[in-house]
Amino acid sequence: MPFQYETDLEKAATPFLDRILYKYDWQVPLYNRVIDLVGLDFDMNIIGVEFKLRNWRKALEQLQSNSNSLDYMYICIPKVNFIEKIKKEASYIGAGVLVYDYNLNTIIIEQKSRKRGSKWEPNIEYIKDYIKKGGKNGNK
Amino acid sequence: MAISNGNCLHIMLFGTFNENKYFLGDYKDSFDLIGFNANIIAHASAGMAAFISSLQNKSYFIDPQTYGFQQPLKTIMRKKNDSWEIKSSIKKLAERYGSLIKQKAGKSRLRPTQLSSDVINEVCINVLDFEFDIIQSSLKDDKKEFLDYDYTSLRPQFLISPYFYIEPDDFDNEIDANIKFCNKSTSINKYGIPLFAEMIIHKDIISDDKFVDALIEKYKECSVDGFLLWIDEFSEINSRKPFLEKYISFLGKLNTFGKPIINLHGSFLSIILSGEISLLAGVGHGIEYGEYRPVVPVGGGVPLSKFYFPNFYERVDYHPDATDILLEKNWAKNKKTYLSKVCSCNMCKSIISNNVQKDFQQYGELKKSEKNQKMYPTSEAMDKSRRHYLNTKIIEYELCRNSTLEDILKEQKINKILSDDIISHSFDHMNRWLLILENFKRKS
Repeated sequence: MPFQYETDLEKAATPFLDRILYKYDWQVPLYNRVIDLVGLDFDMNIIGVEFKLRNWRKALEQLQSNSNSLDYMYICIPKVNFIEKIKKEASYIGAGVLVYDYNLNTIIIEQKSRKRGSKWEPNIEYIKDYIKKGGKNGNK
Repeated sequence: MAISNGNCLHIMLFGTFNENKYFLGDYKDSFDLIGFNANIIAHASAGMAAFISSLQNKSYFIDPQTYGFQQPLKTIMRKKNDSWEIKSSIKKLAERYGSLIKQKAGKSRLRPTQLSSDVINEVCINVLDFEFDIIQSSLKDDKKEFLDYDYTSLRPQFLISPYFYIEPDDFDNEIDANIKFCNKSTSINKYGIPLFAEMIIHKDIISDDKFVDALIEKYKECSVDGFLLWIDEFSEINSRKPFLEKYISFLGKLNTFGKPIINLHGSFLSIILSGEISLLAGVGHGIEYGEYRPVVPVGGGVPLSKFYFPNFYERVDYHPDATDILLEKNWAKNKKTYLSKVCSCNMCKSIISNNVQKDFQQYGELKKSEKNQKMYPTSEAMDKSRRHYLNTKIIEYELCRNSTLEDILKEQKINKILSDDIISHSFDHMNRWLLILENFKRKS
């Protein structure tokens, strides 16, 4: 049954996130924006994810506006027929695509994110510090 | 102080009381003229009089803001305990401006057709008297004693006739009322101070030659000493080339009167026009804002940290645009690169060391509000950002005052090339301004 809310998608993605991320937090504030999820992988890279049920272009815009603070960035969406189009647009900004497959009941990495080169170090420090302190929700 | 086109006057518009320090401190001698809104003067006349006296002979003017009574009521009212009441500063102003305005303020909008000749006479007398007298009469006697100069020097540089906002819907009536205000004000101006007409104009007027020609024809009848111009929500950065051309064409037509013109809200393009080109006498802006302004204020929202890029004459969002540009261009590599490529104003010199990213962050620091949990720029970041902005604006005015158009164009070309390959933010106005100025140079 298709998800009704973004939080349903977020909940469904949690087992996958638990597996690939060392530590993460939801709704991480960065300046006047909020990133849906920011996590550290086991190599201490910063991963940002925006979840969207419909407006995936908006998710790409949100990722792009925070890209100088992330090593890798992904949009996470439910499975759709036009996935190639999304992958193509995501690749323009170096973003990866995570897709929730209803049949398999799991997240699939449809496209890997490219690693960002130059980053704004004060933002990186801030995010690492925020997540290490457990962030707002102290997840995982 | 002489006000004539080509003077490149730096006009600073006073916004709020917490901006006092920029007018009294390091920047005291940097501005030629300060503009105050009548409502702020009416609201705290004694405090403003003390403030203006402490500026010591700094030239100023008071915008009577009579258009405010013509605007939707909501703009001059505030909600208190589920009911609307007129803002106290506007109420005080209405009480000074005369019976009709006092009677209508906060109850119904003032329309140009409601003005009998008696009302026009009364409004003009009261408005000019307010502008001329309010500061002198509000200065407390103990302050007067300590002034080492004649307190009559507290008079404004010029007076401004009452006026309506001119928009296409009621153009004829609004223009007619403005002309009557100007003529009456001229005839009763016995203060020995020049009288200016203020034109607040809707953008659609500027775009339409028929309106412009009619406006010019009408204002021919006025014998005012100069013009203040405010084109509603006109951003020189965001406007397309045809509109910018219309703006310059309008200034050219208004210049046939041979009177000084001040653009109250302008960016670097207008500053250039107030230099060798001599289409304007000066340009106004506020402390890090006010290069364009809507007549009906759009309030609310969380203020964003911004950074003024001197090479591109634009304030951009601190995150991500400003930081992205520095990364893209590799301008945050070290102190030397930053100071030579981005900015070497006193503020930047004082905060940027070899850890450019960390130091630059001082312009973008935010703090979470206890009240609503939203992120706001810290007062330190705002202060630094404002000082960087003011330092840069002062350099812009000096450049346009002392350079030929040819020299300015050379610099514009270099900066335009520099902006062309930036991905993170589009500085399209650089190309538009260059095309317009080159075209202007060719024609002249």
